[in-house]
Amino acid sequence: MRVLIILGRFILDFIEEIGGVSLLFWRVLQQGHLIFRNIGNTFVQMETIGIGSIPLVLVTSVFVGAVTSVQAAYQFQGYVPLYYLGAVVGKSVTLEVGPVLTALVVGGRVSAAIAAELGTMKVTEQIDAMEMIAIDPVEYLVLPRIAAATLMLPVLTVFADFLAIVGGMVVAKLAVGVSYNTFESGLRLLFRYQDLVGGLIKTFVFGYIIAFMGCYNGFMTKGGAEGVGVATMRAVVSSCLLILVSNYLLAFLIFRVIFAPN
Amino acid sequence: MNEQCSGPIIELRGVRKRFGRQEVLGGIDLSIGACETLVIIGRSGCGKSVLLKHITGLIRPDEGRILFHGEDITQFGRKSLFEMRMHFGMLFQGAALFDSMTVGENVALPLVKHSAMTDEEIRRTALDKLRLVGLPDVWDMYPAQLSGGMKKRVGLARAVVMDPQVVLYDEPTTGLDPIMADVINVLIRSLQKELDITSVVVTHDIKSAYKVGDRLAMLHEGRIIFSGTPEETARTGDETVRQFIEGRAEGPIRAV
Repeated sequence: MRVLIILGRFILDFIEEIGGVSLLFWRVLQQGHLIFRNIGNTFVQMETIGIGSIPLVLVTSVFVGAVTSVQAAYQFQGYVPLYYLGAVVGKSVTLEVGPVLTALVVGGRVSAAIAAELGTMKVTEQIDAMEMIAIDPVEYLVLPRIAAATLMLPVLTVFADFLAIVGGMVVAKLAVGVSYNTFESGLRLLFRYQDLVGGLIKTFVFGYIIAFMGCYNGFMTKGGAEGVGVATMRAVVSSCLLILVSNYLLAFLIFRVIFAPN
Repeated sequence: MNEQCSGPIIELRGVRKRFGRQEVLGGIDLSIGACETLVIIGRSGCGKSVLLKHITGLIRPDEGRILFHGEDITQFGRKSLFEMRMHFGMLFQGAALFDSMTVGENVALPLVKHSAMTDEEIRRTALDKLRLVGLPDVWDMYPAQLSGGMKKRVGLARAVVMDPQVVLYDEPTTGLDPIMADVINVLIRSLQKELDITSVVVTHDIKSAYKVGDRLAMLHEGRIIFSGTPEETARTGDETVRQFIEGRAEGPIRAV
């Protein structure tokens, strides 16, 4: 009986969660055009989300590029000429590592910050106060954050792709002994513009997920400081999980359907 | 008394609300007259704030109707609710000022969003309201730099900046020292007189209730069990009301 009660409660909570997410998703869709009334606010968010994340992206991508280079060289030993090192680093960075890792680190930072900010506003009744002065919190708080994250994540990813490749290139020279010219020729050899475009298309969706889950969990905050902590944690966990799941679905759609190999 | 001040402005009929298994409002019937100051008293956690949020449409009832000027707001969509709220001001328990904005921006925000005034007119109007609450010099300060009493006064300035017909106060004196509490009481009274507004005050501070109220109503176990003028309240024979206003641990209301 106890198991049934727990199971029932879990199912009800799950349905409630899906309902809440769908409702906010619908309202964002419905009011999307109102973003033009909140351009100023959107620029502020673009600065916080985009420019504020640059140091984090810088460190992450340089080291990720470096480690990719070292690992690839190690796996090539005796089987693949090191001439292909640039090709492998370029491919893996633009297709997968750049977009996904940037989304995960920016997601952790940004969705947590959004959930904590909106969650605090919720528990201190600032969201209610906004409603009372006839300002729609979805229009004023959610739309600018979603627009900013959706636009800035691709920009950050281009930046991260570039830095990761540079990181890989430097390490290839210093640690593996592959010259810049050789690395670059390898990079050019297998590069297809679809790799870059496909990787970047994914990041628009990741950016949306990051801001959306931050806002949703912020709005759902209950209680006091503890509630804000829970909301922040849920925002980070849910946005990271959704990024990983949607990454597979998008990769399938982009590389098996849209840019399908002949 | 002017013409606007006749008849009820807000009516609640059979309003019920449950949160999970707990029934918070169990059939509320209440009429609030135009230009009157109604004080709703009751123990902490008895549903007073929930009742206030029903009046503004922030919470929808499970059953019952809430009428504003005879129109049922429970049937309103978001747009109509927002239009209705232009006639309302609300002072929240913790003032609910926007942390990221200065005091001036907080008070001016409703005007920036909803009026056709120029920046200069907005600034002048917002400053007038800050002067009204006795804080003309805090324009550029942030809420974090203000004391509790100052925050409430700024919250009050923001609540009345659009010259609303109704102002709702959620525990306006809670957490303030007795002198600051009285400052707020005097302000509520003077705003009501100067601006001819209807006020609904929710509080468990009996002193404040007597001071500001034209009429007191007591909410207990989800129902309005008493309603009367401060004099009638003081003379009532209802044991539950007597226990509450006298602040006794013994009586029909169980303390724990």
